[in-house]
Amino acid sequence: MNITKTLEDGILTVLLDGKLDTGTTPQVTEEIESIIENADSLVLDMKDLKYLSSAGLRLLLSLHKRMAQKGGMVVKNVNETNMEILELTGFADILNIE
Amino acid sequence: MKKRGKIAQRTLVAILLVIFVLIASLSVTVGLQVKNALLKSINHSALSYVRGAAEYIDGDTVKNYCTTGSKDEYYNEIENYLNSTANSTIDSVDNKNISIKYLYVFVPNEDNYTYIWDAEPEQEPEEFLSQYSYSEGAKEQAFKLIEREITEDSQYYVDSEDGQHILTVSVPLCDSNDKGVAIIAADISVDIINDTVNNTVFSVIGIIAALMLVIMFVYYYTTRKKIVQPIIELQKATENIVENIENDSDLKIDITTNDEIELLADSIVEMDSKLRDYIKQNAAITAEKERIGAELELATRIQADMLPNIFPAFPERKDFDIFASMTPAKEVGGDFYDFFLVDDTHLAIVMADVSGKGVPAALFMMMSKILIQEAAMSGKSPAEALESVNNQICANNREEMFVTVWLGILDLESGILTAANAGHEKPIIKQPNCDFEFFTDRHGFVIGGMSGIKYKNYEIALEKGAKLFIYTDGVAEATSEADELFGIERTVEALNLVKDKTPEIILESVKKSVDEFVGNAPQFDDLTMLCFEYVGADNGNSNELTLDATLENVSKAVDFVNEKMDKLPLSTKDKHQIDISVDEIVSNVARYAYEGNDGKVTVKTVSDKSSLTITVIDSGIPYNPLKKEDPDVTLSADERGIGGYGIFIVKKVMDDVSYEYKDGKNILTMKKIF
Repeated sequence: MNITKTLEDGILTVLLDGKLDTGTTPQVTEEIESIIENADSLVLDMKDLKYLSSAGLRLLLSLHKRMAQKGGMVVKNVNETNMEILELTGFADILNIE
Repeated sequence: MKKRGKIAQRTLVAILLVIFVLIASLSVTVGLQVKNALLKSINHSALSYVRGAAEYIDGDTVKNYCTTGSKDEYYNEIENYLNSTANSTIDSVDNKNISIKYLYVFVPNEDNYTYIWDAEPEQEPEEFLSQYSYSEGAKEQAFKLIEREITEDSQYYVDSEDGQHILTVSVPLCDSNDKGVAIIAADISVDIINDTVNNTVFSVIGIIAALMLVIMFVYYYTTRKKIVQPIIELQKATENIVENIENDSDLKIDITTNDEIELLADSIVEMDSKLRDYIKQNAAITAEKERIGAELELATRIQADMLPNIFPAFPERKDFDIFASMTPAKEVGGDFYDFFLVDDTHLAIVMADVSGKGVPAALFMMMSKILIQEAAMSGKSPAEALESVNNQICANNREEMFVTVWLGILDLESGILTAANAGHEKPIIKQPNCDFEFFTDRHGFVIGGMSGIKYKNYEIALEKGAKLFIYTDGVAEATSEADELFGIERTVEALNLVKDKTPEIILESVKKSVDEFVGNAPQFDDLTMLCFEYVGADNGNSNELTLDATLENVSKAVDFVNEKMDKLPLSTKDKHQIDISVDEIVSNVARYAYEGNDGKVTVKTVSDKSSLTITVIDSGIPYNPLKKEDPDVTLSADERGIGGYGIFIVKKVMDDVSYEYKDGKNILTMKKIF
């Protein structure tokens, strides 16, 4: 799992490359936690995210709740597999997906 | 169709015919007798009249009439005399008078005869000296009379003119020298006697007929009473036997004729009683046979059920393939095969043939099978197992039955087959890239023959892909219609025809070869065969992975499944969904199954043409994740909890998910269809 973080004008953009599952989610969580304090809003780029499991969903939910109090969170470049998961779990309705 | 009795009628008709012939011949005889008697009497009377007349007439004068040709006083006197004589009654029959019709005197000449007198009371008399030619035969008779060769002549005939029955009597008229000169004859109508004859005949017929009628009546009555009725009784009685043969009532026939028919009736009563006894006996025997038949069938089923007969026998084992078949010749046979896993890495294979056939062989077979399995399962080597089974069987084998056994135990990891042979057929083995060949092994004595026999183990190293064929003598000893044995050579040939096929196809093919060879000849022995293929364990390609149930190992489980998926026609999306599912299930096990304690998790994959099945097994607390309530996916972010999505996603993205708790294990199975 490779994570690329870019903080620019208070917008934190995180590029997720790999799989967001039981094994990788703790690492991703840690990496984002380390910088999220400085960001007003969050953009998750899922262009290279192969898939996400329920562990990933939990992370998305917790980030979404946190950013809602600030500038919000945007999820973009969601592929078909991931979109399906988001849709069937109802997350598609909650998250701001671009 | 009911036939009607006709004995009485037929005899009656026969009697009537006899009577008719009797009456006919009797009437003819009687008629003729009476007629002759009457004619004789009339003839006698007539002759006396005619003789009287012959005495009365002077013969010399008659001679002169022919020469002078003129009548005289005497002529007229005689004419009157003759006329009066002709009118007199000469006899009477039944009070009817018989009189002379013609009375005449004539002189026979050479070519004709000359009338002298002719007295005809009813007709015009013939002229004096008129001449007539003779009727046939008359001339000879006339001359015999004249020459006194005969003294009288009587002719009976039917007059051709008026159809009257006439009797003519004639005597010669002699001159003074006692020489015949003329003939005096009288014609008498005897029609009257015909009536008398007829009357006599009719009365005779009447009397006989009346007598016969009485006889007939008596005969008919007796026949009906003494023969026909008893026969009808007998016929009804035999019908009764047929109709009531199932009932328990004895037959009674009421016939007291004191003759052969009564004897026959007695015999029928006896026959009925014996028949009933026989039928009862027969019914009992039939019921017994049916019971035995049903029990034999059950025995056959029990025997068949004792042998492993569901194939594939070990569907989850990919390291070997085994197939066996048994075709009994009789209802129950003494052949058997068996195979079972001694432990995870050792497979025992048995082929055996019990001496004899039928139920005793089947019972012996059951005992042998159980003892062999017990011995092998206890961890003994084949030789030790056979020794122990032999001693157990010999300890109690009064029937002196025996069984030949080939027992092999294969180490599935190394391919080393350890076997021992107690008098059984040699195994046929095919190593990879070779043909099926005999393996000449060490034979021990049959089991059950003698206690204390030692058997020896031998080892064969089966290479991966090797095949083993074991069988009973029913294969080699299958006999064709030409009385030829299938033989061991043909068996090997049949095997090599399909040597690269699966065990199942190999057995089918051998069976077919045997069947073709045997044709319509009856099969005397059971046909039992087993084929085993050693595939060997492939560690790099194992379909099972067991790990410590930790979160760190979740990705290993996912990678293991991923590796299996490489060869399968799955889309990327399918693969990702499978990854997610394995991740969810295994991480759940790692988190909750052992409640913080150490434990294992096993992931198995099985694929076929159309699907991949993944099984996750743990020995933790019983827990069915499928029963967990689905999360409400319509809730807002703030209302949402953080759990419950994993199982929900698995249920949604996999095609089939099932759970079972068995032998202390949670087994969750997920299936993805390509």
